[in-house]
Amino acid sequence: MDNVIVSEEAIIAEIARLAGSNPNECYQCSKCAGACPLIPNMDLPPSVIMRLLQVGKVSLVMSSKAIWLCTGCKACSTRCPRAIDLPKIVDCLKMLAVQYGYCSSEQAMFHRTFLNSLRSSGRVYGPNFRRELKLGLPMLLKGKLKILPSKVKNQQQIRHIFATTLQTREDGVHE
Amino acid sequence: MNKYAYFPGCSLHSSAAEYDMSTRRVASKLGLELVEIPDWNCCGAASARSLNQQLDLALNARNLSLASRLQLDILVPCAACYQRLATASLVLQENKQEYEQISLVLGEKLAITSKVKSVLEVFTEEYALNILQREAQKSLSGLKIAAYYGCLLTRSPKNGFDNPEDPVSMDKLIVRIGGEALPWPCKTECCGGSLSLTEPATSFNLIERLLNMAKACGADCIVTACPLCQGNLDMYQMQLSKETGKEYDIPILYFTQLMGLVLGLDFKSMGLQRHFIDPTRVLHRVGLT
Repeated sequence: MDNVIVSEEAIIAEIARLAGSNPNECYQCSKCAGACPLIPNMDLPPSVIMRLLQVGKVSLVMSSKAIWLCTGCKACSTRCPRAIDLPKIVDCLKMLAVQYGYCSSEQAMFHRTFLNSLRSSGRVYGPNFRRELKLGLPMLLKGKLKILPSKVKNQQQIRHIFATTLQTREDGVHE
Repeated sequence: MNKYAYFPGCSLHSSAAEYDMSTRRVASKLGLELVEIPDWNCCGAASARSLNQQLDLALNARNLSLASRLQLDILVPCAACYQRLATASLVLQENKQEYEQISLVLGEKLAITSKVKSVLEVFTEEYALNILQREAQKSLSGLKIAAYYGCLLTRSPKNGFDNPEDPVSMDKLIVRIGGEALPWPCKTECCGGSLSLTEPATSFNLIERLLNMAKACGADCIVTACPLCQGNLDMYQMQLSKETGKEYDIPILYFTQLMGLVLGLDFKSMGLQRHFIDPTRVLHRVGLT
């Protein structure tokens, strides 16, 4: 979708629609920033993300590291006096950042690997993900890695779900 | 109702098998029958919701529909699976457009009647606590415990079962079986989830802060209700000790394992030998092994 020119305003409207939550509701009290456990590592605090969306700077937000550090822990939305669903907005930002080619984050790669694994068996087990942290062998010894994982029997339905849900191609989950 | 549609989730089939073992055995002691949802699929975790929200909804709708065919409410041990299932259930009930779309994706008119409940919620209902107290063969007396709920369990959508800022269900359970539930400020702090795999430095900051705080509050162990929290806090302590030069050796247990020990189930059948930080010494000191 790299060649499609879409205005920043149109993307923000799309985010508000998908998230069912409107960044314009935010009055910048910054409770979200105070609640966020990842704030020391964020290049954009959640309150600033809201402000940037209000003034149409979605490309800045989509290229930030912050959206990929968000774990969706909901500390922000639990405390938001305007009941804005920030984690859902951030999820939509992640999805569109990948679609519009803004993102090359490790976290996005991880999610792709995870979904490809889910697609192929309907369930996801650890071995693919623990290798780099030298935990593979210790986990194996503790019986924490399953060598022959069980699969969903109705594979056809899982494939059908992946094939028919929107954005399947753009989010990088391929056959 | 004493019969549930059980959704173990992927972690409980692999890295967190001890949460599965202890949940099943304690359920049986509490007179609850668990029927594993036939052919359940992964909830999509953080990955589906981050890259494709319709996929997230469809994956969870399939599980909700499979459970509803059993005409049973759903019992979920993993806090992450619980959050995805509970969120999807709410969206499908409240948003007609999403409901229609997902029904099309799954090729069936979805009938979602099952409620989504967490194991912590069901195991701390009054009748369960009464049975626990009546059948208790041991007590947690002498054990100082930091009850760690993590972020996803109590910050569920509207249908949450405990206070999202200061949950108390696990604390009450601990006190009920003789333990000391310490006041500590990190009950609902995030452990970093899958950031430990992609942003280890960032994730280690969160883990370190939680472990330091539990230690500073005098905890003998941290008790969790989530396989991600347990894994992150347990598996990285050795690495953290190496990197910081401080000694980290605090056992991270599932609340179901402590319930099992109190009910007279043994160390091995609760899978306690599967943890990286060996809880033997701490449990032995208070007569639980």
